[in-house]
Amino acid sequence: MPETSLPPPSSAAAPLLEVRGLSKRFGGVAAIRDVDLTVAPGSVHAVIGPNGAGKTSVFNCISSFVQPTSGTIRLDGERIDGLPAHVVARHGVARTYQNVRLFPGMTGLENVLVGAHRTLSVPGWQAVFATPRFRREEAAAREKAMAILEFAGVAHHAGTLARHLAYGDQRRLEIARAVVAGPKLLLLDEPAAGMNPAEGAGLVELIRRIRAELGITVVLIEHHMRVVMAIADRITVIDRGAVLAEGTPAEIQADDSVIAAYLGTRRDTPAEAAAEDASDAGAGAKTGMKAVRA
Amino acid sequence: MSFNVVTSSFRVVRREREAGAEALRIGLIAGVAAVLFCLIGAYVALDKRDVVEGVASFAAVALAAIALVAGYTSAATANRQGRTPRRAVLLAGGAGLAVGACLALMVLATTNLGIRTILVAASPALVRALTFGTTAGSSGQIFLLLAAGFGLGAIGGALATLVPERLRRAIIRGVFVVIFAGLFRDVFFSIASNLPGGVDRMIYGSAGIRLWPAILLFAAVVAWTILRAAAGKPSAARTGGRSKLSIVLLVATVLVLPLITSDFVAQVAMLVALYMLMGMGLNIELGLAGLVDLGFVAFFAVGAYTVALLCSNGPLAIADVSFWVALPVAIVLAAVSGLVFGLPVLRVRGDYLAMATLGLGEIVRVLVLSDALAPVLGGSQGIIEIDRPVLAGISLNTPAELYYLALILAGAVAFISWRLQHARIGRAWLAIREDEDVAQALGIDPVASKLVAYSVGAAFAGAAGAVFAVLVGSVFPHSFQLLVSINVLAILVIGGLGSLPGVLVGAMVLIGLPELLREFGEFRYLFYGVALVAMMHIRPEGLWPAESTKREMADA
Repeated sequence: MPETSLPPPSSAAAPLLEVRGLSKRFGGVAAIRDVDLTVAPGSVHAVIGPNGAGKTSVFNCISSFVQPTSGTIRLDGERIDGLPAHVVARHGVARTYQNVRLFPGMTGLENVLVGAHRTLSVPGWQAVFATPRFRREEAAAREKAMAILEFAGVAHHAGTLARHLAYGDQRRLEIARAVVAGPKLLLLDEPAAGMNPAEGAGLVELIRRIRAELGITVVLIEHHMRVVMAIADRITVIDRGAVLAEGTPAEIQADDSVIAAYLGTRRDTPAEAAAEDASDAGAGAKTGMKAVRA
Repeated sequence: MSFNVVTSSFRVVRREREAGAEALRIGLIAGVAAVLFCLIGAYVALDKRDVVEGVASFAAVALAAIALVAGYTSAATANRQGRTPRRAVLLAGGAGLAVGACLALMVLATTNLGIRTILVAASPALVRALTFGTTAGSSGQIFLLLAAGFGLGAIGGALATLVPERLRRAIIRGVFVVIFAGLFRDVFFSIASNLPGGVDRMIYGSAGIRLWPAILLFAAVVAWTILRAAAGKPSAARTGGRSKLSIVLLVATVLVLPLITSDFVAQVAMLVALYMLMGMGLNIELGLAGLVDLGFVAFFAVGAYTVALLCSNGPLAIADVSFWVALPVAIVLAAVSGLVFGLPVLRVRGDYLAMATLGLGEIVRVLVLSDALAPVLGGSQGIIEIDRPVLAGISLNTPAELYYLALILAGAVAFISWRLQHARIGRAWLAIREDEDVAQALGIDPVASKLVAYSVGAAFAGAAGAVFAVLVGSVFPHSFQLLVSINVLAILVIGGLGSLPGVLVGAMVLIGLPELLREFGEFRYLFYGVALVAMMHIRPEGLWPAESTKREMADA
């Protein structure tokens, strides 16, 4: 059987996100240098690396929070670099933030409804007269928003101000707000930060369902190795603004340069060190990274 | 209770001190305040108006209040430091004595040193008023002042320590109600004049409330407050919510007020409604979208001048159409100018936006005043002879009729705001206010959304300007000063940002009260300022905050 007739493996399919040669300088300081990132549709892709390695800068460039100094970003083959942030969002890129950034003075439901903004189209004057079209759209949006709140497990907080939510619920609400409009690509910036192991496990489950039930491709920055190893199809390691390694979780665990970056130059038992790191909770790995940076 | 909060602000800045020294300090601060109050001429100005006819002028009440608060505060401090109530009251009397001493020194200086050449307010009239009508120069009057100071301070102290909490609350409320009733004699008198049998003359004298009705009113309020507290009903202030009754009362007052009062009060109400209209417009910009707009008056001017040009009989008129045709034109023109001006200024954020819009407001004022545009807009001569609106053959002439016109417009604008607030665009505004970057990352075009907010706000201001033009019957550039923008801004802050009922309450307090107290001249701005500062300390969230603000403040 000729190879072309086979269904292509997911890694070989046209990438959903293709970042090439991405660089960002702040003044004379290069935050990221020549970063490549290829994310297959329907995958969960983790970006890991020591603190200050430039992971969030990559996210900021993709979501157009900042404009890259050079390089290209393609979503579904279409250039999205250089577009204003709200246009990038309309192309189907949604994100969360390292320090949760909800609209604190709005309720859970309102936060999610703002997330649904780009899916609504009825103009304001129809809202003034509460036309049937407006009522229909508004009712559908609320229903959808409630369904997403339910999906994320925070439906009971629909009427609570975001600032009053517990930390874990804030993270979940932020994810709900990001996915309600049905993006193609979801960027999660340290979603498990500050979570205990049980909450982390719940989060892993939520990310799995986002991919399986909503069909959204996920890129996440994460320090909790347990979370990363549990859900990532592929991992990109960034260190000092550049890509250090890229591969499957197994490949990354066996990669010497990664182990060096994470655990110093203790090369005698690399496999053991990696295994220990992988089985350890994020805190351990983080300490290791900090030790290297210091 | 707000009273305690005022006194507590003294507490913040001072270290723990010996109660006696503290009483002296408070007394001296209050004394200096009292002296300043007299020497800037406020006393004489406020002395013209009685709170209780023939018994206490407003000035006397204000001065007494200073001594009372000094006594209250020092007694409360002493109480906290574990002094016995008797000692606390004594200390409070001491604080009051200090106030009296300061005033006595001032009187002595006035009569003996001739400081009048420097301070014009230090007049014989002031001395006469302060010394209870006795002739100048006797030592008896000095003694009287000191005794009065001591007595008032002690009463304040007794109120703070000896009187149980519930009764204290009732007494303070009773005093405030009586002062309120006396201060706004004009309003209540004109309402009472609708009643048969000369009730109005029985209650009110020519300058204030009569003594016996005042005592009855005080007793009634005290009894009512105590009975309510005894019945276990939490007061609205304590629950933080508004009872349905207060809303009904407010709406009823707003609807019938101009009908049952004098033309003067109706005119004030008209002005309040006008500012409400503007307040609702700025509420969209500032309350919802978070745009600090100090050039709001520009769109008010656009609306006013549009109607003036279209409805005037004067030489500058470019058309002579009815108000009902001119109104929509004015609104549309204001909205369009909002779009045009908004494009350049809305790309900047925060403080810079405030500066940019401030410049814009000034540009419009200078333009209408300029000689270049004088052939069109009349320059400083303005545009006169603007026709009144005619509805079903009746010309709307009286303040009450125009009040209802403004009120209906304000109602419509409130309705539109409310609907927009709970739709896609309103949520986008709130999101931009809360976190512009995040809102943008969710697909909201910040510039476009702000432009809509700016334009809608401008349209509402244009409507207010249109009503203003027919209300006054003429427009002049000096009506469109920065102060108008600042007033509207203050209305929102005082009422509660983003809150529609807050706009109503804010306009009543900031526009209505100063107008009703007009006879106090420039001194009303003094109270305006004091009220603003006190407000920011006591209720930074506004008098009637938006639901979300209330929740978050309660939490903080």
